[in-house]
Amino acid sequence: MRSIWSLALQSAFTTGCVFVCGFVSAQALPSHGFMAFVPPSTQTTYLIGIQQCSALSREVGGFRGQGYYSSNGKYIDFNKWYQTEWTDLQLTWLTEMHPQWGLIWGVSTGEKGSKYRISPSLQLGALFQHPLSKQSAFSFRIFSRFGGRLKEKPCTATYGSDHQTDISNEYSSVTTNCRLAAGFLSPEETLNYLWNDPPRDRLAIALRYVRHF
Amino acid sequence: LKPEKEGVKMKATHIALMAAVAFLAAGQALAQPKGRGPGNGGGGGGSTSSPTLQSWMSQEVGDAWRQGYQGKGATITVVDDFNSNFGFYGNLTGSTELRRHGEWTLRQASLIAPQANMRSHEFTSDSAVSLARRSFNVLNLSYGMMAPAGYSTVNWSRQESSIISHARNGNALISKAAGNDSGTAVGQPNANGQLDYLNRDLIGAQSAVFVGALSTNGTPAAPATMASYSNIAGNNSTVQNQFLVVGVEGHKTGLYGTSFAAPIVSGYAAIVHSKFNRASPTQVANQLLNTARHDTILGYNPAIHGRGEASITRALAPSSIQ
Repeated sequence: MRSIWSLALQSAFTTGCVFVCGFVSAQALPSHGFMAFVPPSTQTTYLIGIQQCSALSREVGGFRGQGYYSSNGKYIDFNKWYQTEWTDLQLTWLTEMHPQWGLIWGVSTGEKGSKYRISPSLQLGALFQHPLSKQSAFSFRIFSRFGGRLKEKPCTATYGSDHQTDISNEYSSVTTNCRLAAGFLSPEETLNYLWNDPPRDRLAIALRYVRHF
Repeated sequence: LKPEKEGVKMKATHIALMAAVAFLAAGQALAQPKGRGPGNGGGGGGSTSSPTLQSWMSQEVGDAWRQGYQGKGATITVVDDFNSNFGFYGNLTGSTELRRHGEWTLRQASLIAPQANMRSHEFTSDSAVSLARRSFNVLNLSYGMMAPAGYSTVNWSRQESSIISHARNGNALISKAAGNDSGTAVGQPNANGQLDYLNRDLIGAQSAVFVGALSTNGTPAAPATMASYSNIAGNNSTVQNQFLVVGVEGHKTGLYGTSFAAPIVSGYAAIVHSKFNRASPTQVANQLLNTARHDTILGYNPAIHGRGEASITRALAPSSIQ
C-alpha cells in the first residue's frame, strides 16, 4: 500500500521549477508488481522535493541583465537592484499518516535583493491515494503556501538636470518604479506596477491517475 | 501681414524641398489635390487604432507606443496651408498620396503621436492662434516669414503675434522648422538676402524650438549627417541652445525639408508630456533639448546641430536614480 509515495515523488518532479534533488526511498519499482513496492517500515516522513528557484524567483531573475540608459547616456543596470546572493529554496516533505493518505509540509527560505524581497513561506497540504488495481492508482493532492509574497521597493529618481528651466523643477527626487522609470508611464503611475504578488503556488490541487504497464 | 515699413512685403513660405524632389521621385507633377485629406478641416482627434511604426520613424517611437503612450492629453495645432490648390505627392504610410502642405505636416505629427488631439490653423487666415484649454499645447510651424533682411522690427499679424506671444510666455511649445536655405544659420539671411523674420523673433523665446533635418535617423553605429538643404544653428549660442535636429528620411517618403522635421518634434513633445503631465511647455521643450544626443550624429558640432538629435527615449529617462 505504501507505493503511494512513489506517486507523490513523480508528481513533485513534474510540478517543480528546478530540483536540486528529490527522493522518496528511491528504489526502483519491483518487477513483480506495483503493490509490492514498500519502503522501510520505519520511514514515515520523506523529503519529496528540494527546489531552488520558485516562480517568483524566476520572474525577478528575468530582469537581471536588463537595464536602460539615463537621460545623460549612462547605462543603468538592473543587476544592482535585482541580484540576490541567495535564491529562494523550497523544501517539501511528506509524512505518512495512513496507508492511503499523508501530510505534505514544507518551508521556503525566501530571498531578497536591494529592491525586492520574497518572504519565507510555510507549505501545508495532504495527499490521498486510492489503488485501483495492482498496476494502477488514483491520487489527489492539495496544498497551500502561506507567506512567500514578493514585494518590491520603489526607487527615487530625478528627471531633468536644470532646475531653472526643465522638468527637474517638477520631477526632482520623485518616487518611481525602478524598472519602469525610463518608460512612458508617469512616475506616479509606475507605482501601480510594483510587485506585490503572492506565490504562484499559493493553492495547488492535483488529480492524478497512474498506470504501470 | 503688416510689415512695419511701408513697401516691405513678407512672404510666407513652406519650409520644404519636397515639391521638386517628390516630383522627381514619383514622376508626377505638382497637382491640385482632389479633396482634403484625413485630419484636415479644423480639429479632430488622433487615431485610436493600433499605430504602425513607419519605416521613416525612429525606432524609439515604437518603444513609446508599445507602452501605450501616444500623445494623449496634448493638442498639436498645425499652422499651415490647408486651403490652397497646391499639393504634392508623398508617402508616409506605404501608399503614395496627394496632399496639401499642411495636410502632410499634420498627418506626420499625428502618426508620431496618434492620440494627440490634432488641430489645423489655416496660415492665411490672419487670425490669432488659439490654444486648447486644459491641454498641453504644441504649435507646429513648418513655414517661414521671408522678407529682405534689414528690418529691425515687424508689425506682426494677429497670427504671428499670437504665436510669438505663446512662445515668449511659455504657453505652448513651438516646434519651428529651421529652414531650407542650405547651411544658413537661423536668424541670418540666406544667400539671396532673405531673412525668416519669424525665426528671428522666436530666438530666445522660452518655449520655442528650432528643428533642423538630418538625412537619416542617427544611431551610434550609423551616425547621421546634416541634410544638405537644412538650415543650421550657427554661432549664436542662444539659437544653439534651442536648436534640435531629427532624421527626415525623404528617400523613403518623398518628403524632404525641415517642414517634415518640425512635426516629429511636435509629436515627441506630445509623447513626453504623456509622461510628465505636470510639466509646462517650456519644461518639456528644455527636456527635449537637454537630452538630445550627440553620439548619433557624425561630426557633431553645436554650430551646426545645436543641442543634437532629439531622443524621445532619453527625454523620458531619469537623469539619476537610486
